Amino acid sequence: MTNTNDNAALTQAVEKFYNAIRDKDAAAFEPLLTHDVTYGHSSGRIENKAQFIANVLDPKTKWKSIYGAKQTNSFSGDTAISRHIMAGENERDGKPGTSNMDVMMVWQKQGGAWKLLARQAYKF
Amino acid sequence: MQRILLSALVLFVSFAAAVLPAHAQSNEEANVAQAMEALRAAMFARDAKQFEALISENVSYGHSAGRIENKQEFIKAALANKSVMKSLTFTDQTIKVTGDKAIVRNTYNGVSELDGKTNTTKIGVLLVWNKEGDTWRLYARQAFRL
Repeated sequence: MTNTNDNAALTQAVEKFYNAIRDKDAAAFEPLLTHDVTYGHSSGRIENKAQFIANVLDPKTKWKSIYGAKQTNSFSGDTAISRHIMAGENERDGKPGTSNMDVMMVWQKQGGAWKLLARQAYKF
Repeated sequence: MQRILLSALVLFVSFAAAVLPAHAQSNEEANVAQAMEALRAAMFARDAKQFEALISENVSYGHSAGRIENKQEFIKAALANKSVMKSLTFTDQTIKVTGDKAIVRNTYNGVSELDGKTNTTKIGVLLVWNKEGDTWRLYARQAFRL
């Protein structure tokens, strides 16, 4: 697989990932997350796979839109780093908000598919 | 007698099969812990040679303040840093080895001094290591404010 193809596949995986958050679609995460994923919020909260999915499904946060803006992906064999801004419009406890969060994600190619291994958001 | 020997052999092989992967796993965790300690020491001493050995050519190194560096930028900035490190410890460290990748999380506790002023840094850090050949190398790092 060429790098161009990898980049297209990873960009698509990131998009599917954010669509699954927006749609609160637990099944859609299954092919996108490694078993050992670690998911870190900018607040310092760290979740494993089950905790992350449970948090996404929590009805108190609704995403009208969510996507990775200004995305740069770099590749090294079966591993990739995606840095981008998690952007979008949400509603928390009925209060509208905007997300503009810097994110680093490490993805791993398993069986031909890109899966999220580690994620950390940070505010500065 | 032969049957007993055979049973013993089967028992031993199944025991080894059950125990060895876990043992290999904990060995790798020890290797990653050692690499983390080497990285900590290199950060404290600002040791370019050690950084060269410990950090992947493809590293993405993110500071809590938002600056993102590649390998050469990271080493250059570390060597140019004029503050004096007084202490550096990593606490609350967890290591998870998964195949040829390792996920490390810890808290960076640093005390440094610049122009007579003491600065204390306490930040959360995510580090992903990649096993390149037989060597664990730092592949991705992102710090965040606590």
